[in-house]
Amino acid sequence: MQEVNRYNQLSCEVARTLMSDFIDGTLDSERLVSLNAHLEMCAACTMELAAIRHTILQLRSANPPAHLLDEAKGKALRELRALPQQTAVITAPVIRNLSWTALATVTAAAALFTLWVRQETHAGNGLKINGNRVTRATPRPPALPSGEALDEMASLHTARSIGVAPGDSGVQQLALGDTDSGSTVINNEISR
Amino acid sequence: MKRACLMIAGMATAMHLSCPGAAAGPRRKSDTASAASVWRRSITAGAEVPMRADMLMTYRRHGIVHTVKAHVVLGPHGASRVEFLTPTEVQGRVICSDGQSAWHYDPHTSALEETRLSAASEQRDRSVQQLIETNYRVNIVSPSVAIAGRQCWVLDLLPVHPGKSRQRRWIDRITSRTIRIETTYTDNVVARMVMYTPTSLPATITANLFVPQNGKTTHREAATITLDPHSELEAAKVPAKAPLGFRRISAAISSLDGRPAQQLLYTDGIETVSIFVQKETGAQPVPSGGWSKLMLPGLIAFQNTDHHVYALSWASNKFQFTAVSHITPEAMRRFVIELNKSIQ
Repeated sequence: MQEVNRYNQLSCEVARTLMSDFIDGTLDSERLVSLNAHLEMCAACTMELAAIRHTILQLRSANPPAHLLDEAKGKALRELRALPQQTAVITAPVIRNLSWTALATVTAAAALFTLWVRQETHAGNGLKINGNRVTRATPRPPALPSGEALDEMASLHTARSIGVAPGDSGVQQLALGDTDSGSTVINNEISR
Repeated sequence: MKRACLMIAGMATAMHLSCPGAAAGPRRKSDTASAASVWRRSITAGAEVPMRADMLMTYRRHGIVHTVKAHVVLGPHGASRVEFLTPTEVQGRVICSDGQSAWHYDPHTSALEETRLSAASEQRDRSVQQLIETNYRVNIVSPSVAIAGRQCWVLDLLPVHPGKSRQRRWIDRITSRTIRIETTYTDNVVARMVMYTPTSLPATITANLFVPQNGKTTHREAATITLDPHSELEAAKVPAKAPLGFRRISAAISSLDGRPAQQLLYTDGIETVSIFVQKETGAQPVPSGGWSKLMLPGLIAFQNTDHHVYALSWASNKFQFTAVSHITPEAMRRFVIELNKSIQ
């Protein structure tokens, strides 16, 4: 297996094999750095990882009965194996390299993902899965706060941090000159 | 006007919070006092001793040190009067408080604004004290150091968890009034400092110092909105108890990037972390404007740094979270990784 390319980065194939450990939080730091570097450059793998994470979240929130989950798992595996490799959400090499727990998680997630894709297909947005290509397989990550919003967050943070510790003074509030966002409230919760 | 309101609200709240505990007279301490007893006395009995002083404060913003000077009178039960000298844009302003209301007087507009302060409960004060004692080790650096014309105890509050700022306090040996507080980042850069040079300690004061004597008052009520359990943002369900010894102490609602945002403020007693919660937009993040992607165990995040301010943004359960703090990036990552497990 080709571990790295000419840019000394992981190949997509290897990166995919690391995703289950990443999701489990068991990836060692060296491989975490490598995977991070690869994902910086590879939108496809980033989307794939996001899709897996999304379906796992769906799984957790759905909490389906065990027998339905088992049935869904088997069906999802059959469908995933039938997918062309270039368009599969989880490719065969990935499945071979998954740990037992990760396999269970990912396959169950994949089952829900399959159901989700079908719903989307029925909804008429063009997504397909059986033997055809998957055109969108990921929830989109969030937009990031703009520079102005981030600056305001920092100012609000500083402003509301003052006076927390006994003896701290609030004159630093003067630094707030440009931070007014029309925000409301502050309620104290610590004593609850 | 909004800007002034925010300033006075924070100022008054901070001054109010700085004087917790029951009233008690000044007390002479022996050289054998423990660090814990010196510390506790400074935030209880010591905070009630009247003091007139010249105040010097420095703080950092965008890596630049700013300075504020003022004449202050600090009284018992959170009473205070501050007359600003610098910077020039606030020169002449007066903020006074009797501990229950704060009045802000601007000589340029002759406007006098009143803000009702939220009740600072003794229970909350004790909780903050307990947080500090849980998350910081209090050590005596020196039993007697001369500063601002007073002999002081010098205490260090050292964080139990790595990656947090430390704090040094100078406490008057005779009255237990705190004379100087210096908060320092882990890289030894001073984050902020406040120092009082007493002109009278203990001071003779009268109650009318802490209330306005004339002028037409505009009232401004301090909001006391609680989190709405049915709101969409509240559905993010960020727990009140957070990693690294942090506890949520307040929530505020504002608007950022044109979208509603909830600011949850966590403290360990000295350090703070704000978590801004917004509904996920579904838009593709573009790591620009200083943002860069970061892979953490169990989540994809984006980080941003402005000098000692570190921000980490991530998505979970259809919400976008952005944590902002002065703790180190390493500490923030540990905080977010652990917190995100609770959110999921």
